[in-house]
Amino acid sequence: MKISVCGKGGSGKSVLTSLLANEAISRGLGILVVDSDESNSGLFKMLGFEKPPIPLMELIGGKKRLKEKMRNPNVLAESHLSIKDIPSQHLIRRNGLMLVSIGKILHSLEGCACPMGVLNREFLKKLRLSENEIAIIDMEAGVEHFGRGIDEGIDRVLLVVEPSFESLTVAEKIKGLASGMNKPVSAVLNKIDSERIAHKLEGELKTRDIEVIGTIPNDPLVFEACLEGQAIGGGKAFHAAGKVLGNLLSENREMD
Amino acid sequence: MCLSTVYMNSGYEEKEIMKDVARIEAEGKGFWLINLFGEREFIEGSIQTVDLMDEHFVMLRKGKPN
Repeated sequence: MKISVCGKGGSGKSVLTSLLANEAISRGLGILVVDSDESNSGLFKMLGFEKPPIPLMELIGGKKRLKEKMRNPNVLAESHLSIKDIPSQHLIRRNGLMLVSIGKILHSLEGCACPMGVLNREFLKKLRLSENEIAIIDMEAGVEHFGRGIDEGIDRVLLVVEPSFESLTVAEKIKGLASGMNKPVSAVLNKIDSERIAHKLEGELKTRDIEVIGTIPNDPLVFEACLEGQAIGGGKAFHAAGKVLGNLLSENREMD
Repeated sequence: MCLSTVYMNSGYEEKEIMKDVARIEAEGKGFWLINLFGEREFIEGSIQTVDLMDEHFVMLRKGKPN
């Protein structure tokens, strides 16, 4: 199952990705996290790694050496690829958790991010997982990735919604775009302080035909870990993510 | 998406030649097409249309330019 974690910037996509990844490990599942955010660079820290993997963009030379390296076909030119096909320097592992990164914007005036979009789209489309493996894609903020067709290769969209009107608006837009690609969409509420706010947000999402499958509370442990660039784990947010993963797995079984 | 799909207009159909083309080099009677993943193909013809705004495609056609 390939799950794309989407939503407004700052809604908590990387946090939810990290929480779900840790929960998946504790259940003995193989978990591949795909860092598809070309701007933010701290996901590896949230997942407890000391340094990030070499981005897959480097396989084709990175933006700088793209033209030179493009002349030699690489593993990404194959029609399918599994996790074991990803060259080891581009895949870092810790306690069953695996992380790959598509690429990051590094320099001013370096040009557009289109090559990263194509690489991301093709990687996700070609990636084949075994039954007990899950890929969680920490997607870039907003909706542009739908225009680029990056979500073609994923199985379902998981929306992260924080208590703000803007977050609801982006969620509604994503629901429409994902539905246009026949991708099932469900939502997780994040940064929730009270049941009243949760009910209000859930009601708003219901009017937009979006089902809520979990609620992540505002957790001081998560806040501190994010502030200090530490691994996220433990605490009430972690336990709440367990329910989200449980719901995702049971929905996936029903779809099969 | 800046990367383009290259087609060949044979006069009776428009056939896709290569997707995600990142570089096109003119040589002799045609062009080398190279995609992002390093695949290469030489195709004879001339350029009919280049659309860099909406659909991002290059349409080639048989023969020399008009």
